[in-house]
Amino acid sequence: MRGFVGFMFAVLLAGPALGAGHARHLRTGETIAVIDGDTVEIDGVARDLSGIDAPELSQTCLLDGGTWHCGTAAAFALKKIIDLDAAMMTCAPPKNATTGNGVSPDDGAVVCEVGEKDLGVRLLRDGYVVAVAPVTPGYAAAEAAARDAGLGLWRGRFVPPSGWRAGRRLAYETPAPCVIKGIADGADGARVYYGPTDDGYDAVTSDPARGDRRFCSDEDARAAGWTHAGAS
Amino acid sequence: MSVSLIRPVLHVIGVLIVILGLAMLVPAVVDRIYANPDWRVFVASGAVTMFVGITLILVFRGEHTLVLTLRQTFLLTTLSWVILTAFAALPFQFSTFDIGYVDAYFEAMSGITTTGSTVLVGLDTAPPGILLWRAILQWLGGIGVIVMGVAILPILNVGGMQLLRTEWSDTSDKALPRTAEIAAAMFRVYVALTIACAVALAAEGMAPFDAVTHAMTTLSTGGFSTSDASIGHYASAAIEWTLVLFMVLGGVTFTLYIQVFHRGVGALTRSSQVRTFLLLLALASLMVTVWRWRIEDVALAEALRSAVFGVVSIATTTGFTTTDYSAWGPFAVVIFFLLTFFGGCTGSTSGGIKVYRLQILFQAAQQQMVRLFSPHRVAVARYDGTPIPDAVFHSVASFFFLYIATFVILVLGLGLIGLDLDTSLSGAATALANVGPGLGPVIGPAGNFAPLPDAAKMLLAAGMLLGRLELWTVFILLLPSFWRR
Repeated sequence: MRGFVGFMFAVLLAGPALGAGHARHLRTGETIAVIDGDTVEIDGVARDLSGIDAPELSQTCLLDGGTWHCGTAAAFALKKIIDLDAAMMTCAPPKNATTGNGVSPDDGAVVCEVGEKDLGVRLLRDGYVVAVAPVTPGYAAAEAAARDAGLGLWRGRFVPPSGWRAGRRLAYETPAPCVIKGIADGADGARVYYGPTDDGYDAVTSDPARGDRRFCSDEDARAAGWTHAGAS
Repeated sequence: MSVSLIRPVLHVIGVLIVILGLAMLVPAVVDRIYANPDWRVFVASGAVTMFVGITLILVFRGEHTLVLTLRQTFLLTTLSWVILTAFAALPFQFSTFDIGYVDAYFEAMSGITTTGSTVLVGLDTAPPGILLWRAILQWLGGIGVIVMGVAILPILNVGGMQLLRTEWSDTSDKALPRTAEIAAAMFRVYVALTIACAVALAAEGMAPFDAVTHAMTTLSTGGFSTSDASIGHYASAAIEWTLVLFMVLGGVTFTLYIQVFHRGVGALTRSSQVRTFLLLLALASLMVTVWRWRIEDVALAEALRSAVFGVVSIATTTGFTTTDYSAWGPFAVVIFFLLTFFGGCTGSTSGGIKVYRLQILFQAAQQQMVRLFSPHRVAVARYDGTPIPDAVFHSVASFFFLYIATFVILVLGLGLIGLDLDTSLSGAATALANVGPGLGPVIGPAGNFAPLPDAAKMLLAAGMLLGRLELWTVFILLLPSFWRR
């Protein structure tokens, strides 16, 4: 009993204060953060995950007669995987199918892997993303497995992300405020945008008077010249 | 089914529902303090819940003092868990999380059964009321399990627990200890350990809110966290080792802590179940550590820390995660899968088959081997010095068979729904044993139960209930003879 009490005192007196939330690093050392369900930020550069497309952050999908925020759900799912697996993960440009070497395609997309396991395959099997052309057999099989089992997006109905970006919406969808907050007075007057997976998202408030904007997808934000708030 | 059978049962359920409704006011107050609009959801849910509870109490009030028969106790146990979960799901459904009722019921069941599987994403920015409600459900579920496991189940002779009734006689100086006294003493221990855990976590840097909620989900060996990344979010060795200690404490027989007051720490080491449990933890940790260190080339300190945390978390059926052990290679994955079934000690908040039953089965196997070689030798199998009656062997063996059979049915059901093998096997196992995370890409430690179809969630929720109530308590309700006079 005394030993136990003594231990408790030792525990209470020990330990410095802790800050929660810190940058994640890949196995090869780069910092990695999540922007949305199919886009990561490696060492400050936004990179799409090759071969998959996730619902945009502001996109909603239909399920059981109601809507759910499939876009932010996909982003949080990817964030959970990155938070727990980053130290075991490597990201590299996809191997070119015809030449077989690591020639990086123009779009800067990457394939992330933990050991032999492809992150894209995992997201497809979870049903959070869809495969996009050119579809490799592995990605097609993963998407089919999720579709057949009715996982994630496939539980209900949804507009393919490419269609959603082009403006197509499901009949029930009511216009909702776009989710991404663009803040016009970041450090050095920079214009930065925050997504729901970023640490500072809840704390910042959008003020149109000073030039803040809302974006429906991270592509819109980047196309307008805004930069991501940075790895959290 | 006669009214006299159901009347006192519904009366007691009414009381429990009122308590649940009152508990909903705590997150309401917290949300109000943090100026989160969810406080209205908790007040409304609490009001509805208490209204139904009070109605049940009044309608089913009996003239005489409340005495429950054996049949009524069985019925009460199962019915109360199912109905309480239905009300506990209300705040989830109507909160800002926009999830449907099936998801809400799954989360509530996962809370009350102290499983810890979650369908919620974005926990880091979730309203504090919801995070607190999840913790409260698990904490209350832990109390329910302790009381059930020591006070009710041995009386019902469920799963071979009769042998453990003799443990109670050591917990008090009085000649005839009463069940209510023991339950009250264990509740005090539970509260004391929860407070100690919260203080320790806060001292190590966790925000007070996080420390309290994690303490509640640790001692109940539930595993709900306030972050999507679970304990990995804190990346603190001190927090991890503290949680390892308290998870182990949560997985040990609580009546032993009462004995510790009377007779010192020796009471813990004298229990063969605790010794076996700790040995199991040490062995599994060693195997996983060596695997990661030598085969996977991970630094020894890192391997030890992550292996011990993972093993203790799964073996105590808590379910906290610091990293995705699904990616640690086949040997580690198999160990974690098997650990899912083992469980903690009887009379703790852990789920699983329980170390005690595995000890009995091992004794049975040993005795069989002795009989094979020396058929004329009289060998009496003993447990902590007490001879083991045949009835206990039968009870434990049939429980074990029923457990495997239930597992198989769950796996078949999940496979029929279309889930892959990893998800079906690990989903069924984690639900039945009330662990939390599964294995594989969908429901593994870095995954989530949200993507699963509704049918799978309901099946898993049923599995959680079955596992928590030790199977027999639920299955007996399916026997026609139970309902006949």
